[in-house]
Amino acid sequence: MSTMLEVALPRIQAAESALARVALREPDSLNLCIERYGSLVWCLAKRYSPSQADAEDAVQEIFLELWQKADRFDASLSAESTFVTMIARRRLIDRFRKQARSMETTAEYDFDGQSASVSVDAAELIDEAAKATRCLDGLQANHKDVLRRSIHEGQSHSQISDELKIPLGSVKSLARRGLIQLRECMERFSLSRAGAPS
Amino acid sequence: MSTADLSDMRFQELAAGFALGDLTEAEMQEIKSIDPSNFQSMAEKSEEAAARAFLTFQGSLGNEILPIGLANRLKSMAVGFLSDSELAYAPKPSAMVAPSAMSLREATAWLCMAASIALALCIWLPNLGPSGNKIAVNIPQQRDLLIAQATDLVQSQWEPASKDDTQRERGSIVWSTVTQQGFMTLRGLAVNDPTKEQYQLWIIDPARDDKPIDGGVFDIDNEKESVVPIQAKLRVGKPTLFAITVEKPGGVVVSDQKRLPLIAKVQ
Repeated sequence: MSTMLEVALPRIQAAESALARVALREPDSLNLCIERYGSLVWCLAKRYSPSQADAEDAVQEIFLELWQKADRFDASLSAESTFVTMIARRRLIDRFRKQARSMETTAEYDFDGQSASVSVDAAELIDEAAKATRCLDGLQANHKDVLRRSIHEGQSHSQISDELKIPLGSVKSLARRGLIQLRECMERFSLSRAGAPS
Repeated sequence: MSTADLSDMRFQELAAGFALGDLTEAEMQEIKSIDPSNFQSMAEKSEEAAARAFLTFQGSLGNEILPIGLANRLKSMAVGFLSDSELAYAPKPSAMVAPSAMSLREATAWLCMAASIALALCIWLPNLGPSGNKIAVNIPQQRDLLIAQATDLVQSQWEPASKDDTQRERGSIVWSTVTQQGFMTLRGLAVNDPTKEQYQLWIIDPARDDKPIDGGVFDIDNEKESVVPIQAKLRVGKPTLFAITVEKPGGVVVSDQKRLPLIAKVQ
């Protein structure tokens, strides 16, 4: 963690809210938003989309929604990257539901993207990730594994059921209970932080 | 049904299912019976927890960048988004028109003005890609560059959609799927009044689906020759037909195709 903090320090001072600037319609703010969150949104879109073309369409829709809703971002409530991820996941889930309930995302993805580091603001991530890591570590292993597969890998419950050889209903239950525990843990952190003496 | 009528655990389960995207149709109906404000609050907290979990699992900050074509389309969208925001009550900008037949003096003046605009734009929008629709200077050159460099160039000739229209030479269209760029060269298309109607391009791509892709709204202020960049709103795969319709200012989502001056079939 100390290494991450050292890496993040120069960026803490340089950090500025891309969404706040988008909300003000500053000329270069949208490009900043694309540069900062393009990779994150792309990573998400790939995991939740059945094809590259579909993922590319989703990314366009997500950025349009981000720009339109930029004024709703409140830095006192969450990190900007969390807000972006929330918008992106909601849009992707909506698209997924609309397209075909039976559609399965595939692991054999053939993308032509090149490797490079994501430019999400690391300072934000470290603060929230530290809390989320502790909360995730507090989950039972099977809850955590199912959540990772569902949220991070974008696997359907059916895929998880097949791979882990557990009933579909159990996958659903594990994912939901895991997320509930995660939310409760994060809320406890927020409360303890709010009540803590400065 | 109020939130109190549901067990607290069930309420939380539905919110978690909403955030995970795994609700059944029956559960969607169940949600509709819950006090929306209570549910929205819980669902948003669940979505935030899921978002934070994703970022934590991501951990290394990821290792992918956007495909170049997608990045270019996003930048083009950004320019359009800002233009729409800033010019919400102003007339739409005119089409990008090349000076095809003008006097030397006019051409010189045009080039000087164009160069000034280009310089200003380069300073103001350093990241603007070649598809940015505010650059009026280099459109014909950009088209020529695409023709020279694209390895997957699709080319076709415009032809009147109506047999009554006898004018033969109407220009051409070029498109590259790899770069998601394309240009229309249009001749003999009537000058339009942007406050009353505008032209709109449609791209037919059956490999994608049966709905035409919006290729952008544009104006014609010169019947001799205009070069207009294509602004596809979605990714184009294998186009088989391009069509130009006349629509109300700003364009439409679905065209009734009542006024369809030109089409270009891809062989």
